[in-house]
Amino acid sequence: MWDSSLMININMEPSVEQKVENIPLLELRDIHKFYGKIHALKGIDLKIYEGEVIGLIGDNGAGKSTLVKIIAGVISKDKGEIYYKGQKVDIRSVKDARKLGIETAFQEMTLIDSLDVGLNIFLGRELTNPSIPFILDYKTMHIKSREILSKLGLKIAESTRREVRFLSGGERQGIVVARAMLFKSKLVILDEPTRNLSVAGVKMVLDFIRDLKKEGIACIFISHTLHHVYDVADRIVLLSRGEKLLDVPKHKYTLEELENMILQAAYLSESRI
Amino acid sequence: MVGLGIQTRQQLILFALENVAWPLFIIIYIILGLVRPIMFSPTYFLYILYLSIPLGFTIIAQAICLIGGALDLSIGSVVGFSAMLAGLILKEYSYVIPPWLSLLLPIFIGALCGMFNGFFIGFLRLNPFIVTLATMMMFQGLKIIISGGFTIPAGYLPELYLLPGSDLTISIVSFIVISAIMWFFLRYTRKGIHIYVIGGDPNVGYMMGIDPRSMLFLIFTLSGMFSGISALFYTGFNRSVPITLGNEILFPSFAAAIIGGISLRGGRGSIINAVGGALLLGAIEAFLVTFAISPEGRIVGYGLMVLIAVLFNQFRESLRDSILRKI
Repeated sequence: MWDSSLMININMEPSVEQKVENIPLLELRDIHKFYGKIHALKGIDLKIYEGEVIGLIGDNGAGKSTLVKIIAGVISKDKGEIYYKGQKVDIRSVKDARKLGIETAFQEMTLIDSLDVGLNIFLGRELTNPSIPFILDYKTMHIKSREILSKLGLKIAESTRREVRFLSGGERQGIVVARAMLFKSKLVILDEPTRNLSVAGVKMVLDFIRDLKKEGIACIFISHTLHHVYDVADRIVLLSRGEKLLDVPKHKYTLEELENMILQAAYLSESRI
Repeated sequence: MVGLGIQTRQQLILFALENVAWPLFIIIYIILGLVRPIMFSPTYFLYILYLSIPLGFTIIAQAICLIGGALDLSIGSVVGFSAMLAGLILKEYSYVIPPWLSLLLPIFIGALCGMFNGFFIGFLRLNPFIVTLATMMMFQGLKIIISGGFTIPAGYLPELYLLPGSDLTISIVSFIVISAIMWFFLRYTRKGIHIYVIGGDPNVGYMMGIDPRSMLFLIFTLSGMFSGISALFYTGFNRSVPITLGNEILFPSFAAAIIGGISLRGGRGSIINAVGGALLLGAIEAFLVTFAISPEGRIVGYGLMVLIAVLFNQFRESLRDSILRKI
């Protein structure tokens, strides 16, 4: 069932929709990261086109979150280059990434327990009063939070003044996704967004990703398994132990074929060690 | 109807728990007044307010640090040092410094001391406990060295410089205005809310684009500034700069901030309640003054008060959590 000729296509082909636009929105070249002696990323290349959904998969410790944090400006790369619409860029902070239109929902669920839902959604980007510039506009923040949360079908929309430490895991995850939804602009990175979510919650995240695609916003959707990302992804990228083992357009293969390719790639990398 | 009743009752209990320093202040004040009826006289009450103010500014300083998830052991020493240095500068150069500018001098010196702390804690990422322990000793020693062992008497200081701390009305009004500004800053400005964020979880703050390093620098600069303000009011209150100034500030500043509901875990608390804690402490101190208690006895008392405050606050927080969880 495994066709070795498939491997030739790897890394070659952008997905159908993007063939017209040849300059990727974001391009990573030869990204390396070391944590002490651990070589966490061993030269990752990745191209992300406008409106494309990348399903980034891999086991724990594969380097998915490290890669995401480099793109998001949380940690710095040790080697490699990042290009934004063909221009070389240096993403040194979360603010730099935001300026490029990169919005990230981190796996760590970046919430402050002692603050309320509304403030958590606007964390670091609090709205200020248009007429008195430096004063926080709590009213608008709560209204917008309520809107976005109810759009996601979350019950906490009714209580945006609650401190987030009293919320369930799913509700907390909902806030993180809502934040990405509110601040989306060019590229949205969702690191394990379906964790802790109910079936309805997962559907809501998948719908959100489809909406992004319709609006031409690119998305990197990270998960442990292929099944979560298969439905919405245009391209499947597999990381393992800091290496990219697979980068294939989804439409060419069935779920079964992809599963086999993942197993094969994992097997090949295991046997090298 | 019944449900609504329970809900409003819960809201009331929550409100009381969140602002516990004020009801506690009133209750304890009444109890103390029953023992010492003099405390019910309006003059004595104003005197207690007046007495609490120089310490009150250091409590705001400590509260800012605690909300930001740090703590400042150097507050008392910074008060003493900035009062002494400002006093010495004014003693020598008061004829060149415009009197209104002299008011800003101790605040400026305090802010510099705070920046010194903030540089090590924020930008070099050293532990606040160790850094402020070190600077506590440094500023304490420096105060004594520069003083040459002498108190600066009132005659050497400009009258305007002594005015804010020595006049009861000016003292009380400035304290109310300054703490209101600080409360507003913490609740209604982005930088203020970011202090809560950093106190809640600096890593989350960092990932959301708030730089914990510059925030810690700001927190300690503010703490130093408020210590400087306190120095100005202590100087006026004493109408001199005694060499012992600032020696007995550290513990009460902790105790009052904690009684005022500022959590040691960081990211929680309000300046208004810290002010309530300051008044409560002032009332207890004024009460104790009416008995002949030795200075040593008072030190024991302060130690006890910190312990009781921490216990009390823990109880208060768990009670509040258990109510909020159900809502």
